[in-house]
Amino acid sequence: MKKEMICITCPIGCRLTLTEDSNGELQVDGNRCRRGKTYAVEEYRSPKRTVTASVHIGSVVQKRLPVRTDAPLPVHEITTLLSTLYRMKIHPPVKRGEILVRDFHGTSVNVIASMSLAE
Amino acid sequence: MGTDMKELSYDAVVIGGGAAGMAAALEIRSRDHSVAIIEREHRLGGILLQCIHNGFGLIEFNEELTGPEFAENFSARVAESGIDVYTDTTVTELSTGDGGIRHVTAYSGRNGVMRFSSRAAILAMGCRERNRGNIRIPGSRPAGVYTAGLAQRLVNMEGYLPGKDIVIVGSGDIGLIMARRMTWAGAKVHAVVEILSHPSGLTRNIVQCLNDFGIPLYLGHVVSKISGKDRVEKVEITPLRDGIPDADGSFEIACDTVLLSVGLVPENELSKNAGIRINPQTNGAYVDSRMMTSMEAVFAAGNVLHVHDLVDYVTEESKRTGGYVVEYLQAGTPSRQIGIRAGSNVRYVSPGKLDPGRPDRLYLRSLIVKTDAALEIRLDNNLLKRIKKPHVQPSEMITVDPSAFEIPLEDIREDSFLEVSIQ
Repeated sequence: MKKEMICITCPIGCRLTLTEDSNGELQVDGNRCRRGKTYAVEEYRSPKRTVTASVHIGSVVQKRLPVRTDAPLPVHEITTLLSTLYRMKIHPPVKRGEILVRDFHGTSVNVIASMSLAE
Repeated sequence: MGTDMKELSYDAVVIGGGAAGMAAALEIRSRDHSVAIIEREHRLGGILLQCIHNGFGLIEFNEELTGPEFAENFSARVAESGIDVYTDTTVTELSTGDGGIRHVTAYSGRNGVMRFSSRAAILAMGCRERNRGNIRIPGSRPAGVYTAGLAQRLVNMEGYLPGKDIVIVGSGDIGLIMARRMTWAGAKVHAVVEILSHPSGLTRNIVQCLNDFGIPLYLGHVVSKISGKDRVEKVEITPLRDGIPDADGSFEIACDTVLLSVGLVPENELSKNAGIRINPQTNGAYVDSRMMTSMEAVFAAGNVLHVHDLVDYVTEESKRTGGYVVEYLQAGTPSRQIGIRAGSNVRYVSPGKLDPGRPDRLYLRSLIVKTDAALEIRLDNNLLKRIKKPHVQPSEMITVDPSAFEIPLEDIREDSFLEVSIQ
């Protein structure tokens, strides 16, 4: 198994090649520093992303409230999280950091408000 | 109108309540001068409010925040500081009154026409997007062509999806961020088309906004035609061979929406009308070592001065500008300044002058992509310092701290200049 990726740890953007042998051992080539290997292995074994979105809010000043996950979420959970968020409707007041979705699908990742809205 | 006009007076007036305006105003207020911020929108924060993605604040707050969170950290400080904030207020004119007093004329629905008198004014109006007219894409004029930032506002704040089948022109960061946003919002992004042979945006955004979703990036290609009767129906894409469009390689993509991410321009209509000198390299005001423009007591900070890549650099620069305003209010003027020039492979250096007795941070942009590069700083063609740079590219701003080099004061002549180049 071979996988090509670009390291995003720093702006150089090394082109990495990750190889998995029959014993499940991972080999990383093309990295200029240690961080490249860490990135490649993490990205291969359990890729995660911080998800940001906006949800419907019944406010007089704004139609959407920006929200985000409070930690990176496994990539395969993103689509279901987004459809959950797009169905939500919340009402002010909301305080920044307030938890709107708790422990999504047992990932221990919460969705929090990115903005305070009084009315 | 004249008799109804509301007269207000401050030590300093800041035009624009985004990251730059808030940072500059806080610095001035922290040294006990009266300050007003004038903001045309309903709340402070500027463009940060629609940038709901993460990646802001790693330098300023040491954590990764979204735009609204970054803005709220600052607006909370402003609320506690005793700065007077005029929201929903539009500035129409900047001028000089008797005794060198700055006049800023503005109006709002609540207060009508107001005239702010102050000893110093700070330009912090940010920048705006280049549009279809700036890049002259041929074809018909159907609905469905948006700048990426406008689409960002529609999706993130207004709750509208501008279209379902998208082609993005330009690989700037806003375009890349919008490729992910539109995909996450349920649209299909068919392509990102970039005229240059390298991406204009950060590598992190290429990977996480395009590669994650398998969105093709056409480097060295142009959108050569937009077609559609009422609504966009398709675009024609043409590769460049040695910089010339090669019509034999053209192909079409059906789409209903075109998003343009083709660069930002400092928003200087107000400055130009006031007669302030604009630097053609940055499209921002020409400023000296104190961030003062060609108009006495008028300063500039943030994207209105030059377009930054990170908001953290905007706030850093704006705090310094605030500090210079305080020094100016307290009658400090540098005894001498030397000019700074952009040398080879450098697009621009900001500011345009430097006080050799107290050198300050410089910001510059590279014209080239290069790994294992070096910055060279010269005084009157004599090399002062060579600084190794592991990697440079046009999309990433370069900073040079004053501690990085020393200026031999005894060598400075009347016409001395400093030059920064990249090798």
